[in-house]
Amino acid sequence: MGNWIKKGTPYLILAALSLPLLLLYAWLFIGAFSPRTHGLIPEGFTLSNWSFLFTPWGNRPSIWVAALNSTLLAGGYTVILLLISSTAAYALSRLSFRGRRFFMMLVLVLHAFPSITLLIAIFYVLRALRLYDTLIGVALVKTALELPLGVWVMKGFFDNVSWDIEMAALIDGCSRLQAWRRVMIPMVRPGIAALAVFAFVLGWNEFLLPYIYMPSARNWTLSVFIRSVTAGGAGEILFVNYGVIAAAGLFYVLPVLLFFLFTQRYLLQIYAGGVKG
Amino acid sequence: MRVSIERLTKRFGKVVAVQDLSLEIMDGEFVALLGPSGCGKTTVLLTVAGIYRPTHGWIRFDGKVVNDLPPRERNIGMVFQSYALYPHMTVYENIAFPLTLRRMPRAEIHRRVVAAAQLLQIEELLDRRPGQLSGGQQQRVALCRALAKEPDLLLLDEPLSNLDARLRLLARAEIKRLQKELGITTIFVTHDQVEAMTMADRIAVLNQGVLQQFDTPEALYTRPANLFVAEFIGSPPMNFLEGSLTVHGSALRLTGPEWHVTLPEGLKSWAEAVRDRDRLILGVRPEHVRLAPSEEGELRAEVYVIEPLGRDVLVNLRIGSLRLRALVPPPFPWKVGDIVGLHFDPAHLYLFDPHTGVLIGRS
Repeated sequence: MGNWIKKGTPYLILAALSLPLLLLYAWLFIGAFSPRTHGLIPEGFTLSNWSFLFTPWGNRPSIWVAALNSTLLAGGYTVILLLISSTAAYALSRLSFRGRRFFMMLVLVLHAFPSITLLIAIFYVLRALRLYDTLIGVALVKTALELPLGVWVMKGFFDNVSWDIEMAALIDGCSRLQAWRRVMIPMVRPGIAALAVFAFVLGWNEFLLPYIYMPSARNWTLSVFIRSVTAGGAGEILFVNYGVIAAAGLFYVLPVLLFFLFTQRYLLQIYAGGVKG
Repeated sequence: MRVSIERLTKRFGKVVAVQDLSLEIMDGEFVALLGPSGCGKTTVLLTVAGIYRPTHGWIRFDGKVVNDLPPRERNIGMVFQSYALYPHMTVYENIAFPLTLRRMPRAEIHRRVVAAAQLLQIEELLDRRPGQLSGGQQQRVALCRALAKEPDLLLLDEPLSNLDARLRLLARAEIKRLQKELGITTIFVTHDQVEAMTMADRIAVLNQGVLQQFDTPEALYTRPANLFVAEFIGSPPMNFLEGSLTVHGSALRLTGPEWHVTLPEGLKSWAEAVRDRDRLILGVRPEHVRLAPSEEGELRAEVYVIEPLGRDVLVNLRIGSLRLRALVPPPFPWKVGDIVGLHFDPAHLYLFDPHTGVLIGRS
């Protein structure tokens, strides 16, 4: 009996702490399928909240356009991030060059740097490069801001591959580039998978950057789209229908939840891969 | 292929890993680099492989300097201590990988992989992945991968140290047989003097990056160049007695705090040549120490520990603060605490200079 209490207590504490979050999700599910709710008690069942899937919502573009934009942003940013992280991390892990230590410290410092302070500077850079109000521009900004983390995580994975394997590849006839592509990359594949999942979810959830740097409605991502619903569109009289917002929110969060279910195995490896200096 | 290492020095920052090393390895020869861990032997191997560049000195293959040749152009087969198999490839793909990189025709690759696998008796493992193999199997696959390339030079970095004792004995004989059969010049790195002695044609003993002696196993055992080699080669290691030289009539004696040994005829002339030296070290191998009843021996010692080894008995003895080891045939009639007499075989004694460690002479 005493043992049972001892084992159960941590779970009880965790459950109590998670309760507010669980309630939020519960409301999201219940609200999306009922015309009105009183707290968590629904008032009947309806699918009418989901009409935005088929008919445009006020003067906004279709939610499917926003969904496509979100996918493109998250996917594009993930691909760029992976390409740069896996090469930069390999160099930091394996090659000796002038300034390597300094560069590694810089990466860590940048990781800790509050990127929000760069918002205005980035705006000028994007405008100068004619990338303001474009998906690729925002994807590049997001990549730049997340690169320190990506590089550091991938470096941890490269550090864990033994030198012997790479030397064996070089002796077996690989050039340095071939050794990287044919031996090293396959060996850090779990790391790449983990970082890809992590980055995609991060990109999908991104709100601030698309909101600020892609003001045109045709470029809206889902996060910006939903914000426009809660805050009201241009010249719209604000009438908030919580049922619809819940449905849109569920539409937004569902892909991430499904994604998580299938890929959490990889995500855990981001931490298991370890970060070695 | 003939491999010449000429005045090789390798530094990492301020650390000198190898200093002024010169070795001439004949075509088809099996050479062991032997030394304690951190003595620079793996550095030598990786420099020969082309992974490291020499700081000074030259590596020559058949007379041609290869200092600037990248590893992939050296046609070397190497087996690492960790085996370094590619875990994402099957055994077949592992063995075929070096051949694929050479853009060899598929049929030729297949022929070579199968032939090499037969040679090492791993045909039934070809579809497996390295993670599914035992240590001994992985070692065979690694060796197979190195041999399938038909290399001019085979480099082995402690390939036996991750095997259990029984497998190590088998692999030792196997590698030696293969090397002689294929006639590939081979450099073998090990810290185990038994491995080096049993397998190699010649052994280069290294300590702290400096070559101590390069000779046949037999010569290292009977004519060690200095104290380090004398202690490192032979198991259990040689006994050393440090004392000062004193004259007693026509006899020369080496005298320690609680003992003295009269030098036999064979050593006298050597000792006389260095009479100005205040101290000398006498070396005697455990197998050349004879035990006798206490009243008979030249020295008297207390039995400290008895270790029966089956074929022999290893006896630890002490004379005051001095510890000696004797290897004697069983049965051993004494017990711990008994006082026994000692003789040193006069035909197998060594004299060393305690300052430089260099061998002065042997009887």
